[in-house]
Amino acid sequence: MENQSQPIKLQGSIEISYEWSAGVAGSRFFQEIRDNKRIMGTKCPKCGRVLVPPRIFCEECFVDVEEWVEVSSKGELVTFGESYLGTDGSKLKEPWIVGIIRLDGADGGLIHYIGEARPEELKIGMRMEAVFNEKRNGNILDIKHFRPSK
Amino acid sequence: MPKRVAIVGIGQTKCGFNDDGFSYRELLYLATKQALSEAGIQREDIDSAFTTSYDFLEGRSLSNQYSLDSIGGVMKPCDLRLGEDGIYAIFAGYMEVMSKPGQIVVVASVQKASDRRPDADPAITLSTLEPVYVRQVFTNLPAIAGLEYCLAAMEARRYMHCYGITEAHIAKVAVKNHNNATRNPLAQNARKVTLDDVLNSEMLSWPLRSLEVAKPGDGACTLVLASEELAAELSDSPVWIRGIGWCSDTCYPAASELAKTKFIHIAARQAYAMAGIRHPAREIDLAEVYDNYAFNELQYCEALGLCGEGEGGRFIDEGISEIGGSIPVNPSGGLLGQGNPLGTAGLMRVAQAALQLRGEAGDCQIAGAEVAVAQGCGLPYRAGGVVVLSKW
Amino acid sequence: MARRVAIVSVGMDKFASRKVETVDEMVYRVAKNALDNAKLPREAIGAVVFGCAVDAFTATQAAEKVAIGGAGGRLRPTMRNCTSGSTAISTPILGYLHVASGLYDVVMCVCFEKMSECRPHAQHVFNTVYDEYFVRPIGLNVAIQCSLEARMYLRRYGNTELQMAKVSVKNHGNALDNPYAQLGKKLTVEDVMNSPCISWPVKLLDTSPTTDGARAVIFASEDVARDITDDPIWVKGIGRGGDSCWFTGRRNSDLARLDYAYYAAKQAYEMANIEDPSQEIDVAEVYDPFTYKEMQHVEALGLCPEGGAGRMIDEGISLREGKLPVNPSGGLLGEGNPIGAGMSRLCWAYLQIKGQAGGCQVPKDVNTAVCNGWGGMYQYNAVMVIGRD
Repeated sequence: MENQSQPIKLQGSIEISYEWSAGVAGSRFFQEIRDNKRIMGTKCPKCGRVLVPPRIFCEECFVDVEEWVEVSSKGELVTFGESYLGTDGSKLKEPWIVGIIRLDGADGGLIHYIGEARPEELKIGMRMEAVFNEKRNGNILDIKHFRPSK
Repeated sequence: MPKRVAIVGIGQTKCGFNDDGFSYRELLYLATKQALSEAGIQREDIDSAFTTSYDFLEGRSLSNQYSLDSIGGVMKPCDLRLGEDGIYAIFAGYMEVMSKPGQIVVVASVQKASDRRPDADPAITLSTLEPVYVRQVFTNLPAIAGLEYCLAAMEARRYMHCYGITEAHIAKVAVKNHNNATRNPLAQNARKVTLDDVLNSEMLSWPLRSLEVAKPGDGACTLVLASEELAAELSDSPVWIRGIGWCSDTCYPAASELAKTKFIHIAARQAYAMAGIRHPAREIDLAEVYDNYAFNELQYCEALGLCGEGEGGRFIDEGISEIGGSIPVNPSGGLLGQGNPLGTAGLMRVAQAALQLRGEAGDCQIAGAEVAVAQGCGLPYRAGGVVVLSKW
Repeated sequence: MARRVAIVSVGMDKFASRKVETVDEMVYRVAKNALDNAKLPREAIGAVVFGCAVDAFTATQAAEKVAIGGAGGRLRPTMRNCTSGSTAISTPILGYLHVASGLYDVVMCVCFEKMSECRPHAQHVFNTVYDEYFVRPIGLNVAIQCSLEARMYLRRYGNTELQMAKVSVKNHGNALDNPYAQLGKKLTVEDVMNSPCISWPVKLLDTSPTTDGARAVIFASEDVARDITDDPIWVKGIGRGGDSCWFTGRRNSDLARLDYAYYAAKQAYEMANIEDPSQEIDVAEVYDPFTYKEMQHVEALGLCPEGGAGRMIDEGISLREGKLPVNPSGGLLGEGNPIGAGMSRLCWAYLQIKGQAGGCQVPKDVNTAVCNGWGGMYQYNAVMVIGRD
């Protein structure tokens, strides 16, 4: 079967707004970053892992997790990637960089921007530290980025 | 091959706009923890896990990919399903258990309606419409806020026209379910209402009135399924899944028969055939059905064979579906009364029916209930499924 | 034990930007093709299983509902599966369960994705896949997501960009003989290495193109299968694995090793009684949205030792005429990557065993094949082993 007619395109978009609840664990986590520039994890009573990002249950042991512990805002660069494409698909001259940072005192870490460094200056395993924003609103972007430790 | 599959654990959260700050993942964990603890099992005992969700309801593409942690599914053979009500997780879970002996499978669903801004729902409705011929009609309307009601009203009007169903018939369903819900501790804003209350509640789109529409809410539900040889070990009162069936109609409303829900009729026929039920009206002790709108309950009761085609009006008039009647329908309060966590509400119908057969339905309990049918629907309400449960 | 389940037919069509057709029309073509190949009427199909990853590509909630007619599913049981990219293989696994459980005798899986309709580009939608609390605000995109993983993988095992480039050359070249492919191309390693860097080590030609397309597969129970065809191909093993969504803090948080894929493969091989896949598998169609994913997957599927994927491509083992051909169809890199329709990997595995792979047919006997799908936040894998008795 062949299409015999000029293809017709129909225009439209659907916009839906949300207010996602950060959860019991996320609320405490973002509040501590906003108010005290502290990164918190929760400690599983069974396997002892310090969970960052925090959760109120351990997905491995499947038990409640209630103990909060502060973890360092410094850690190790697990991996990183750079992009020359903006989020909207546009070409960029300077790349932006994202990395996974395993935080000291935690069995996990965060994925975040890497700043104050060029890709060629970065190495897996290098020490990193969080830079907090002056104005903080209670979300993950209260951390501005991670940078190589000075 | 295992002969039968049982429900051995049930977990449900309270419905409603939860203001305890739990995220969807946390709500799902709470329901799952309860279900596992009922079955006396640990995460290690789970063989597989299934969950369902709808992307636009959650505001996330591939929306249940982050759910497997909450249902004990990490490093398990998980199959996540999407775009269906949680009742479909039972179908998948059932097939999983039947495919290999000795399995324990978790099926779960969660909905966090409070994550959507109040003005989001018309856009959600639009997104469920057939995109070329239906959606385009509505996208240019100055206000689409009432679209969802308008579409349901077309169906209700057609149903009333074909079978002589009246506004009073529909209102009586709402009265029954709201009042039943006052006995259900999991219900969202349950309150006693009278026929006048319903008939005088705000007219949304004739004949739909505010108290005849199930309000969206938050809620999570988890069931633990097990194959026959494990069921007795895991539960003192296993509830047996005797039949399942599901079916989809076209999503183009002009091509489908709006007065009756043929897709549920077909799904029910399949489930009853599996369960060996020939006369549902005589053999079924109670039903939990998807009363998203009050008139839907009457349509589904017809499709489920609890009364004859077009007899929904008589069915409610004669009190057959009341808690004291011969086939109580939605003794839990249904979606109207217990709450409507979209995409989870169908799974909750099965949970409530199973509690009845266990004799653990509290003040909603139907004495001596041994066989129950539960039914759910998927968006955009032209697809759904049926589960037949029995105590023995 | 479960009933034996056979594949009796597949439905193929071109992967391309299908701007004229609706999803329903696109799906109809593969469903009809599969039915015709099996000489079955629509009435023979007991249930339909849909696979489609992302609703937002077409802005339609429950995107498969518009394709119920095209799949022959009207007033039939239909169910939609979605495990992100692994939808490609977890959907046929769900189709298998429909039959193995005894519920249905004949089931059609229809997988599709229509990525060309969203504006400005499908990539825009990918950000909505990410966790809304910790990942999405960063504006992560697929390129960086993969770079994070690829960088660790190369470093851990000492594999190289050059070896990645060789995978690209192989798969784009193989696709030249695939009539349904979007991107068959004769490339050199230099072409790949010199293509624009998207996010190190991933270059443009290390990636598969977004596209539109659909595939259908018909499963049947043993007795019915023998009525439909003299040469049914059996589902011998299935396996699935899903790891924690908290990829920065898993028990094994090392993205270089796909624990969940090893786990899925182990299940599938145990069920298929395969002890050494590198010897017993004749051909593999693995999930290769990026070149390094083929490398990770051939390792996880046991087609070479862990870390040995570089050597495997260097020694030409995975070439079409090699000892263990991998993606002789061109894979996602060459054929195109309409996410859910990655079920094409299973279709090609089937066609190879049947000896119907045309120009893509490998020059040796094929009795057993494996295929897989990958998806989520470095999370899921689904594996299927099929073969003759």
